Amino acid sequence: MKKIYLLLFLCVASVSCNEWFDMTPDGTSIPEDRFFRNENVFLNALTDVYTQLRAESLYGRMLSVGELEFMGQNFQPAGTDFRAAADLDYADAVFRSAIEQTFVDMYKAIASCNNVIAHIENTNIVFNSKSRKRIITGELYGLRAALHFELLRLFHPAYAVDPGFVGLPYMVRFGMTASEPLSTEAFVGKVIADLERAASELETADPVLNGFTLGTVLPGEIDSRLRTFCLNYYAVTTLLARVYLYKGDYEQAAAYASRAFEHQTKVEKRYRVFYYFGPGEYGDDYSFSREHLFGIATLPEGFPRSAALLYGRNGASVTKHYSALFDNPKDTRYRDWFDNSDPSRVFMAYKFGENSVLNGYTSVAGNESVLPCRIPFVKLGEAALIEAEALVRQSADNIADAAARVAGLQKARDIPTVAERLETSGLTVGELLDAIELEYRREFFGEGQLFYYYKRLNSPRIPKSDGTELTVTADKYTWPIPEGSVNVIQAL
Amino acid sequence: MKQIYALNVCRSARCWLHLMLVVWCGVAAAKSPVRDSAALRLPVQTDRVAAGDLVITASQIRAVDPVDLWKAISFYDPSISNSWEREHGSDPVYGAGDMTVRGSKRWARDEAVKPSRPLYIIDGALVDARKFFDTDINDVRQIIIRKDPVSLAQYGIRSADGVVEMKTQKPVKGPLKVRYMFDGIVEWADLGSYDLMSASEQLALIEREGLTTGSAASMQQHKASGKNVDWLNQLTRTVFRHRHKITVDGGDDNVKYALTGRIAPSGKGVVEGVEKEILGLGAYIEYRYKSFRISNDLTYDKTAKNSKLFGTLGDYARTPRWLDPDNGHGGYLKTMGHEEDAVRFENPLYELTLGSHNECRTYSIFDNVRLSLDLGAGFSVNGRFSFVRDLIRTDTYVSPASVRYASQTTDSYTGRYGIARSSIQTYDGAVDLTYRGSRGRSSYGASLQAGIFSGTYNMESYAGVGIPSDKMGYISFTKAYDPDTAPYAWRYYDRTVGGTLSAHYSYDERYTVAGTAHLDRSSMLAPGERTALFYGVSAAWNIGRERFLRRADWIDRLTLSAAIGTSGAVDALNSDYVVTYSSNIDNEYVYNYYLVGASVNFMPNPDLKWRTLVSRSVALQAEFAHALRLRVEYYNNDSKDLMTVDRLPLASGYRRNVSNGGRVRNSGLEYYLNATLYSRPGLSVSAFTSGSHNRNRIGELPGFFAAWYNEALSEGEAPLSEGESVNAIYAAESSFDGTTERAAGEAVAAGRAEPDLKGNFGVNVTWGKWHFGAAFDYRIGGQTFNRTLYDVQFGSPLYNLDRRALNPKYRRAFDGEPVRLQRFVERFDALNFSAVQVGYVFGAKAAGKLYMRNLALYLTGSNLFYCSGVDMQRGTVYPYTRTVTLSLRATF
Repeated sequence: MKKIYLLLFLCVASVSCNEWFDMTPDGTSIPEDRFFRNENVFLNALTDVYTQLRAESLYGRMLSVGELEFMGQNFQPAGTDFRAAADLDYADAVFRSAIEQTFVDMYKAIASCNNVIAHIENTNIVFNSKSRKRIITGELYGLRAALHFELLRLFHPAYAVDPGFVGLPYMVRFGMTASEPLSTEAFVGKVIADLERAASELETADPVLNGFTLGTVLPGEIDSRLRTFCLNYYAVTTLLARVYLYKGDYEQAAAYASRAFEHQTKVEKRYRVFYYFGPGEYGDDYSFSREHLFGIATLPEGFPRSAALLYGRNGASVTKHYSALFDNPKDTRYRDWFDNSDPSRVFMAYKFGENSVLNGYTSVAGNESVLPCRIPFVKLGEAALIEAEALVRQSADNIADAAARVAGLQKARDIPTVAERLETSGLTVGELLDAIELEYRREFFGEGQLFYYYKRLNSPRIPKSDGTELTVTADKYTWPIPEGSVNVIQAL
Repeated sequence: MKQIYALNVCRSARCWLHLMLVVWCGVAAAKSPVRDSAALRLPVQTDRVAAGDLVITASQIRAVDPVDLWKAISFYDPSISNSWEREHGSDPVYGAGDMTVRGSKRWARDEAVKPSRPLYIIDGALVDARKFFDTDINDVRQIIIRKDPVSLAQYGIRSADGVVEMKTQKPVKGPLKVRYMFDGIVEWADLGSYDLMSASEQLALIEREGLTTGSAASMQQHKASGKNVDWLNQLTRTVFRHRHKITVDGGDDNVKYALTGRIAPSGKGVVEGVEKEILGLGAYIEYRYKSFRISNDLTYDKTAKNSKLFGTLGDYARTPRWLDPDNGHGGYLKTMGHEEDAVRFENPLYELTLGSHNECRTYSIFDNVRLSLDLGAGFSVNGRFSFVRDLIRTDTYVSPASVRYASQTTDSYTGRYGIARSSIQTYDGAVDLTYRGSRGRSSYGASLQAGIFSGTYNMESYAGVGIPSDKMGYISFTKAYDPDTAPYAWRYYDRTVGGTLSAHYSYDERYTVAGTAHLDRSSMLAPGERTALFYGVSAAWNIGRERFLRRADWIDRLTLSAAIGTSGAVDALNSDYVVTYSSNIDNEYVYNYYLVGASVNFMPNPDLKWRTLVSRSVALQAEFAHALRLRVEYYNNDSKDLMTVDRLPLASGYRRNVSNGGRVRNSGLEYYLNATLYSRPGLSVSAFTSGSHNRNRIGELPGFFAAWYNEALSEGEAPLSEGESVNAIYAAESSFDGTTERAAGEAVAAGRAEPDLKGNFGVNVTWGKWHFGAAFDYRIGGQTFNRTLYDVQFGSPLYNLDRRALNPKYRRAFDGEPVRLQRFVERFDALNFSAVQVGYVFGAKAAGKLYMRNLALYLTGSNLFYCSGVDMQRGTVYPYTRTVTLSLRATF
């Protein structure tokens, strides 16, 4: 039989070369080998990953204004819909299946990154612009790491609690199989490696370094005006700071967190793509989007609408919390985020919502374009808070520098700063840390970030919006990993 | 998958309008249709027909249907079945739908998405179904339906759904002859299965159920009108068509030639507005020098099919009969009835007066070059190269005056003109080296074949909307692209290289073994599984030649044989195993910045395999006293590696993707019996019968796939369940307490669509110059879901229903939502009088008086009578028809 097989094979092989068989059909979809035959399409494939992130199961709701925000206890759900999330009740079937969907979609975005990474690293297309290739590669690595880190923060216990916990795989290949699960420590190592790779690709090429330039942008080119819609260099360095702080490496955290402020010193204000949005500057941009180091673009019918539904007049009210947190009536957040027309029922109706827009962007057609509000992913304010916290946790001697960072944010919000307090009445490290916590609670209102703050510190209690406190154990801080995440369950 | 289906929309196979003319040997006309087949076989042709293959000869085909090749093939092979005929009846415009040989080999839903089709071959060249069935029936020398496991293995990845091969007529040596063939066809619709309510009966039913047609006023008007329009008769007609064919042929030992032309001018179908016309030209030339032979066969065919009617026959059967298409003032109403009617009905006759049409034109060029060289010492080399170029164009025009724009207030987007074009271009070549030899009592042979195939398939479509007037029926008059259907294009390639090694050995004509191995490498296969190997082996024992039976000289043949083999089919599309990207055109990333991403469509499976059919068969073949020929065969075929979905680890980012799994078994029995009852010069009587029994059973069903499949069943779709048939009919039990009926429990498998036995029988008599033949086909057992009874039970009386709706026994008060009940699942027995034929062959003297060498006349009646145990409307899209054909064959 073997001989027959050989004979037959010879008869086939004599006329066959593989390329002749690699004829793939054309239609509305295009096979990857033909798709990646042009330098511009890598940007399209990258753009798709950003587009995926605004799905309801990801930052379009679940990981921003939705479940995760309720888990941070800034809001109490108006109805029964997010009750399980607010109670950290992972036994709830609906919540569980929502978690599973988030898990799949998160890894799907990662898989999309992986496929483009595999192509961009092995392509034989010559990029006319080497820097464009570096930027795209950098963003892809950055996204892969950022998304993995989000998964880690959700599904693993906090680093401080158990760095040896083995849970999720770090996926670096697109395909039908999952790689082996890693411990938190090893996982964080991979996140840092990918982010550092991203930073090294971006640190020379990213136009964000020089601010934006005016002019026409051709399809397939990197638009310097839209850098904060993408994972730019400063977003990557700030994410590194976030990861190092989570890991407890305060030195690195402080070093990376300070990078974002270079933009403020190196670039003239009118060309900066991000800066503190002080009182009187932001107009209708109630989410202070110019402070986003990276925010996810939305469509008017998407995120703004779901945010309006959740936090509008029929949504979750924050009456008590609002007056307790925002003690200064000059605070721009207090003034512009909330609908307090009825003092007995206050809503965060304006921060995100259909009236909150992004100004100052010029569309391809050359017109001033008003964009719907953006989903913040990482902000300048967080860089300040990370740096301040890392500095004082390193050494109490750094308190002046730390206070100065926090003061920058507070000044932009038009409230008395900790720096002033340090000078006038003095400030202990504990008091500064309390001030930082307070700023986390105010600044990330409705952004889904507060939960991670408490989780990082493994705080036994989370203050609730109704004035009470929620007692939390370490396991409540950890989402259950869905069944069949790494191995296929055979039996049904 | 959708694209493939669209490409096939235009492919017609059912060619009742074929011109009857061809290279039909003059000798054949003078002989009885049953016995002349041997005389037709050319000695040069190396027909590798294995014991398990079914051969249908030209004369057999013409004895059943002188026009429709599909009818003739499905008549003779009872193991062939399809799912569309019950609805599409004898529709000449409908493309050759799905067709299965020996049972369904896939899940029902796969079948609905991409219907399975056998491989169609004309003289060794791969063609599509439309080309195959558009071939003139008179050109056919024989049809071979490949079922033998060894034969199937030779066609590799294309053969698991069956192989249907056509050998065409070739000219024979002789002086120049001119032949003329004529067919005159009278056709009318068989509406016997429709028994609809009259206007007054339907109005009475509406009143009895406490309803009105919309208001008391409308009810009053309909009652008073006294009209009782027979809608089905308004839309169907008795038609006469004619077809002509002229052939000029002849030749000597070195050169043979044939030129043919055929035409069927604009032939009407039984439904108003349906037309089809055919023009065909052919040229054949063959040159022979010593042991070398080369031939070239070139044909060109053009067909045009037009249908004007929108909607189905069933739609018009449901139209109440009190409605009058005439407005009483010399015109047609657009929408009929009273303005307060709850349901308004469009006037189909009005639509027919408009320019709206659906026209499909095909142009097909087929060229086949064949070479053979006898090297001596038992060796020979054969080569073949064929080229097929098909252009198919479909124009769909909806007049701006159509009723479907009745509610449109502005004229800007009324009227639509769409054009869909597809083309097929294939190159197909093969060469083989064959050796045959014998020594003593042994005879043996082997052949090695290599083949290469390259096909390109294109399809594009676009449509414009906004046409100013009915008469401006062309795309140039449209104002804009159709906003609902963006221009679309699609391209597909098939590149396959195959090699076959076959060998056989026979000892003393008693013991025979044969084997074949086939290797395919194809662009249709996943990169991880691009090479496919198939095999087939068979063994036969001719007991009749054994010494202990030598004395029984009435036994001409008694052969026991067994065979096993594999064959394949590709169900997957390229996108199932390769990562594909699509633009997120409707989902730009940054609002108004035209920053559009391109996303991965789904997780492919690069290791996806083709579907494999493992066929096993045992057969007994016998011939007694030169008068009785019998063949009985048992088969047991397993279809493996079907398309399924399987679960993925969630960390891959996807929940599931396509996979292989499951097993569907078809096992059954077939028999064919031919008997010469009386044979003397001047009179011969022969009879035949055949039958097929098939059992379909899902042998293995992956649990995850079953749960996924059964989760979202469309209306009427049967769930999958291990141990059941893929064609099981699911229905729920019901209880009836004398006044109200209720469904009891979930739907369960309540029947099988497959009959217990399906087949044919017939008789042929030749008496002097007269020939007489009659043929029937039947099915016994199995079930069907009686949709008509379901409508009688649940249908709204505002639509016309079967007359049984008047009987409370059928139209019971029902509690709950309509469901498929077990009482609608009925045993399905049927008998069809397929054909009756009377022929007269004129003597040479009589023909000579008319300056002819030969003259023969045949009168054939097809499907003249049908009866069934199930009283159900059939042909709900297009009616079944009855035809009477007068054929004339003259040679000058």
